[in-house]
Amino acid sequence: MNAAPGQSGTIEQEETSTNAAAPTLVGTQPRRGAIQVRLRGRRIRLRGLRREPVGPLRWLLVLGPGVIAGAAANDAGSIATYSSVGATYGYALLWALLLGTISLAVVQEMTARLGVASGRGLLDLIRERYGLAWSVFAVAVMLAANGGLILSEFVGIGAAAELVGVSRLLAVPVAAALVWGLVVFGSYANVEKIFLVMALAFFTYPVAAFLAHPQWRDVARGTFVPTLQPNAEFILLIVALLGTTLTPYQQLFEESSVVDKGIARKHYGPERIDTYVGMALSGLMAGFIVIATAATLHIHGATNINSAADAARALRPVAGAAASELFAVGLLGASLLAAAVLPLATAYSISEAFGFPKGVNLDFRHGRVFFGSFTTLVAAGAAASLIPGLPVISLLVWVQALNGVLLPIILLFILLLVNDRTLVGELANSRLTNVLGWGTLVVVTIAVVALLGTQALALVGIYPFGK
Amino acid sequence: MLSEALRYSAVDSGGRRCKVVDLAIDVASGPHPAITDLVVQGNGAASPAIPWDAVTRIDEAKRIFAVTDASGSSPLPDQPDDPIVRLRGEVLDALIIDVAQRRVTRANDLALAVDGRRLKLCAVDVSAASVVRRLTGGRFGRSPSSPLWDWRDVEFLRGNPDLGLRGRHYNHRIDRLRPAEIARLTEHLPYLHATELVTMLPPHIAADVLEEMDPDRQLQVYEELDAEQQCRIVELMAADAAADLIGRLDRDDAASLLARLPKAPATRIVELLQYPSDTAGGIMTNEMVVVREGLTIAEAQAELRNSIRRPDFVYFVYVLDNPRNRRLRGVVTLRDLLEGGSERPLEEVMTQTLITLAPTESAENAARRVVESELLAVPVVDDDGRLLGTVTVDDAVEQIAPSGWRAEAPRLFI
Repeated sequence: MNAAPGQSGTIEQEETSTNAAAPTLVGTQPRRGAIQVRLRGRRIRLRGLRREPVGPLRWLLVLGPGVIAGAAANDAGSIATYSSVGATYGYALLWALLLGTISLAVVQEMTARLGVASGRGLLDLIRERYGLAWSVFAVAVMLAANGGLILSEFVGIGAAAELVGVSRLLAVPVAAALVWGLVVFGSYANVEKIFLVMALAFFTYPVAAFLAHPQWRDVARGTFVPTLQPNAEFILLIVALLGTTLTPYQQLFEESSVVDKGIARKHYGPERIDTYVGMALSGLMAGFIVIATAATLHIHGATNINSAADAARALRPVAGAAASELFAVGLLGASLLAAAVLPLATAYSISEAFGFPKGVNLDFRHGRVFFGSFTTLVAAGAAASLIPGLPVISLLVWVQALNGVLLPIILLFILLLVNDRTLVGELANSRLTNVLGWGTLVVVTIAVVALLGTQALALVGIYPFGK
Repeated sequence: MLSEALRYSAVDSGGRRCKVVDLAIDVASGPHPAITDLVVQGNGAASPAIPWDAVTRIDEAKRIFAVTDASGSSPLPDQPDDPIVRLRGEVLDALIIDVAQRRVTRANDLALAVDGRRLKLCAVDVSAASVVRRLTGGRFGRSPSSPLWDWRDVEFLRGNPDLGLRGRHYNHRIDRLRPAEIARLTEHLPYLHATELVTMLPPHIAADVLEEMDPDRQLQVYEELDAEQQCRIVELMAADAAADLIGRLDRDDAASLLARLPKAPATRIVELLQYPSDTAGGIMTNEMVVVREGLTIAEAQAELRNSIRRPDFVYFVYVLDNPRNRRLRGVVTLRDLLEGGSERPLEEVMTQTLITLAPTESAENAARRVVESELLAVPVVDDDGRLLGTVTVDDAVEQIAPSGWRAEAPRLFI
């Protein structure tokens, strides 16, 4: 039998029972973070709302792409440059490092802002705004430069492992497998956390620096009083220092990574902290490497430093085994992080330029090109690094040249894009960031032209500034 | 191919010659839109446009569009909500969605075809050969190395969420897809494109799409919507999905949204939000089908027709003592209700619910108990035995499955 019409009320619907009283907001308790609502005469605390992180945790939680990009910049090649700077000129170039770090922070902040505002990676934007040719050029140059760098990171891993008594034939494949598994099987959140832990390895440098007992008065003078020595080598080293501080893969990685993290435009504010903390740490660690080597190698006249492993080895007799081993551990962490970040940045860029699905959160099936290029770069880099008698130092010179060509172009694109209000809206550059940004571009361009010019002339046997 | 057409010139009878720099279409004019204008190189900053009607002949050998007057008229309007789209400026190299194959990629080249007196946009070339073709100026890679994407199946987005709202410049090809498929597609798009896609959908579909999205992406898209859309879409979402979303907003935003929502959905959401997200109360849904005890099966069936529309999970019908007390007496399945003799009282087919969850027990624990019970859902009751909600097997799987699986796991009650 059917129920008689009008016999409603027997079935209880959610809506009819609750329509009697709509929830009214009682208020929020600002400190405890709970919102109270009055519903059918009851006061209800909404415990299911997001609890704003408080205290130091809040600052830790925003750390991510910026810190990783900053840490990855201090890779094996950079450590070699910083060690060489410290060993050759002592504290005299610290001021250049400070300026370089400020420029880097300005550039990285713009890049992260561009990523958040547009929701797209740098290669996405270059392809869409400047066409296929520029994006293919950028990808090709980056593939070559990053390929060389990845190789040098695995060389660094091997050298660092041998310094602490592990064979490179064991260390390199294990490191490659670790890095590969992490990115392929991990989610973005996990990968970010593990990268941040890897970046902790950099804290071995301050310890190594303190163990070296530097003259802190001289350190302060070197940092804040710019000095120029009227010789070409000194100026070239400043240029090289700038070149290692600002590298295209950092910008590409930070922007893609910010996009992958999925930061909403509204929440950009705190993300600045990530970038600034990252770059400050990056600069500080570079400074400590210079200090550690300046306080020891420079004073003892051991200036022939060609690689980070050389520096670690040279530290042993003058600063003790502890300082040397700390240096090696730092090198291992740095190389491992960069060996993951570099192929990742390259994979992002390739996928962006050609419109393939990308992101650490994908699985292999859905991101074949993304993970395929990542896998290829890691595998090829690790395998090539085991070739005996590889001319790593001259390879790095070429890589630096390629990055030098790419850097002004990338910076120009970033500056143009981040001033395009149709793209970034309210997050466009302010006057101050524009002055700093364009200033950086001009200085970098001059530096790169000078560096490439001397390198080109050296190739044909002309040394305008003396050998 | 567009890359080829961009090497053409417009020439009039007076011998005046202008380089063609772009072609324009009316994007909303059917499955294969015709070219409406040739944009030619001008002297000033703005490039003049020649309307297609002025084209008299296409000479492929000489790469010429013969036109009546090559001086061109005023440049194309540049309002963002104009249906006129520049193929080179806006479509080429942009991300496009192939609705038929549910994939997203960049348009490497565009296939054009002459149809009578018109030139029409037919398909998108996404192949690697088209990259080679463009880089070598057409010398290599002439034929596509993979199938073209028919423009009929392409949804073109400009990455501007405001446009979706106006909604008149889309073909709404995306409407053919299920909400879950649209949600997967948005994960391969920048969030502004994803938001544009959501805003162009009818609100009830948009709500379903938002429910299916990855939480981070959902939050990004939600925050790009304007206040009115936010309210309209959240109102149409399932209460548990809406509560999860609101639970991740800033406190002030959450409070203001709750204040703006209509009473009924706001109440449902508030009831869920009183429990922390890591408890059974935090993962349950409170949209379920309930019926009062003491009815016959036929009476229950009649009443269900009204109440069964809204909830996603309808297979279990919970029997309560009365609407005020809401004490849970038992559960009947839809099968029981359809099978049993219509005059029998509900109590005869009802199963007394033995397994229940407490709202404050941990979500992890609750999820395991649901899975171990091998039931489709387990009710959540308070200390007095009042029904608060139910944790479905979907909720349970979402809670305990490794994060990589969550996107892949089938949802039963959508």
